[in-house]
Amino acid sequence: MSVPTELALSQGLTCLPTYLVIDASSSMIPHQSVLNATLDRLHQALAMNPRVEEFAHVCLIAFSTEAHLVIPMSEMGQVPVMPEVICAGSTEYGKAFDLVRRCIENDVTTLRAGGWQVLRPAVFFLTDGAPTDRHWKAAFDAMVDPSWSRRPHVVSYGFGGANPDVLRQVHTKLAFLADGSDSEAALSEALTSLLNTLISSSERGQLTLPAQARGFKTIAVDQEFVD
Amino acid sequence: MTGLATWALNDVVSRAELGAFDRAISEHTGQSIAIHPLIDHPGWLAKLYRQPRPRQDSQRLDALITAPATLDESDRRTLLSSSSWPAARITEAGNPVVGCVIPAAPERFKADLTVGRTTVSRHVEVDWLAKTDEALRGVGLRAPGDSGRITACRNLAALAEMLEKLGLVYSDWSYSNAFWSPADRSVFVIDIDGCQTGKMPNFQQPSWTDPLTPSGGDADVYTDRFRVALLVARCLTAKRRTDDAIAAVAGQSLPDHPAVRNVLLDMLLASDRERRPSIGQLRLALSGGPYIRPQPQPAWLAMPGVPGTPGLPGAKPGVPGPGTRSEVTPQLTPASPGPQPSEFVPFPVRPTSVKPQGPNRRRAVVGTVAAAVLITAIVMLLILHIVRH
Repeated sequence: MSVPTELALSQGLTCLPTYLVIDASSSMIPHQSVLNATLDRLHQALAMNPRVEEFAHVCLIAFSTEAHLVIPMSEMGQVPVMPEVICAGSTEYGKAFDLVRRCIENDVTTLRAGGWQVLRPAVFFLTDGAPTDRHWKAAFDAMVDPSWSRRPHVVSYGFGGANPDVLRQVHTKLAFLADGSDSEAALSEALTSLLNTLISSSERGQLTLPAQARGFKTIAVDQEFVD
Repeated sequence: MTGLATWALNDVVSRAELGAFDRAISEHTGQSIAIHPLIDHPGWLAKLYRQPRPRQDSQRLDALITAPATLDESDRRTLLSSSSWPAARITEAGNPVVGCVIPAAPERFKADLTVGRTTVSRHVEVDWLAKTDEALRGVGLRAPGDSGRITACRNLAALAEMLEKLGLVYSDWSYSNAFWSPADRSVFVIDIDGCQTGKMPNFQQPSWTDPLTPSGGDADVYTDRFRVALLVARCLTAKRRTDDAIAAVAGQSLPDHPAVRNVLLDMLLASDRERRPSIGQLRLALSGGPYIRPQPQPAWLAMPGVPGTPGLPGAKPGVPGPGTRSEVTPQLTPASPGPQPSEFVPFPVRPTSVKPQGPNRRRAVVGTVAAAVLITAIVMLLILHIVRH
């Protein structure tokens, strides 16, 4: 009995490396203010909830012509204020996936060294358009390659001009497509869905996904989730 | 403390009698489907349960509602001012347990929290006490310091002690089920209406696992002792990892509350769960009182970072020796960073090399002077006697 009890007392806290990957291309310019306001809301909600904040360590990546690491992996309480995202450029999915993979490799190592028990990372991918690069799929496949032990779960949200055929390929767990009535409301709801996912996941100590997101229809569900 | 609210209707009320419900303040959490403010009864909430309810649930709830009447005035006041104790069972045709009426958390448990450019007023969960003073100041909360943390933890333990006295198991001790007032350090525990007598389903929450309560088994008073101790350890030390919090308790010096360390370590590390000290003992230690520690003292689980546990430097045998003597951790014994060998020795043979402090020290000085005077007088008399003869 002593081994499990000692392990239970010695266990570090569990954390979910969470990658919020947002499309900041020129097609997002009309939604820029809603995007920034929603990111602010996400930041507040996490920073005001210590147990969710400590569970979901968040990394924010914005992509357009290039991919940018906006906020490195952090507990949101350590981020004083969200930077403003100014949208411009094309929609290069591949560069975003490449950057996510590099970040995961570093972040998991750092978190483990800090004594955290690290769950499989979760990528929440938000886009309002189709990719403008030709080889994005190879980058996505490399990111979710089954032979890579740190491969993340991917949940994607599409709105505005998002291509459903593409979106179906950019997920490992769930893909949601906005019902098309109101892109700005959809953007806000996507981040609300993300926030609720993190709260419920923190209560259970594991990634717990919603089957539905308000204002979105579910267009792809991974079999592993259904089971 | 503010005055206690008094529920105006009967212990059992129909849903219709309650009048209109305001918009839900919470939905689909735990056993409730919604919690609504009662418009006709300010300060009171209707908590509506998922259905169907277990058999005997109406008897269980009725027993809870009437339990405060079995306590003396002081304990009853602690219970009702520090918890959302259920005041009435809600029924409707064909359903004896629709939910219950509970008091809303008082306004003093709300504070302004500021993140970035935004400030919001919200109930302050005890979760914040497990953050450093610096982190609290960072969101605009008043930092409690060591004394504020002890006061809040004492108030929390006082409420938990009431449940223990009533033979109730809460099981769900964690960050999310208690509010804390940065202004007066009082606490308010919610979801009390789920308590059961003797044992109940074990709430499994990440990082609140009692290593000695079998997985899949029920929680009992001993589970509650572990979880309350873990919550108090985290709030006292601002360390959120179990092992960090325990190691910090072992190294923490609380000169005015010297017994806290040993009570907490015995509650968290005793390898025999039934030898965990009571929550009443924890509350007493947090009040500056002593710890009457049974001997032999409880053997401890191995714990990295805590000297004195098995397999580590300074380890003590699992069972120090026979007997049922008690060791008192006196109020005036200073806490020390590491375990002192004398802590593991039965009280009657405690080494006397420990320098007495405070009143004990004054008594020792007076005794020494009196003995010196007496000896000097005897010597003088002897010399006088020799000179005369």
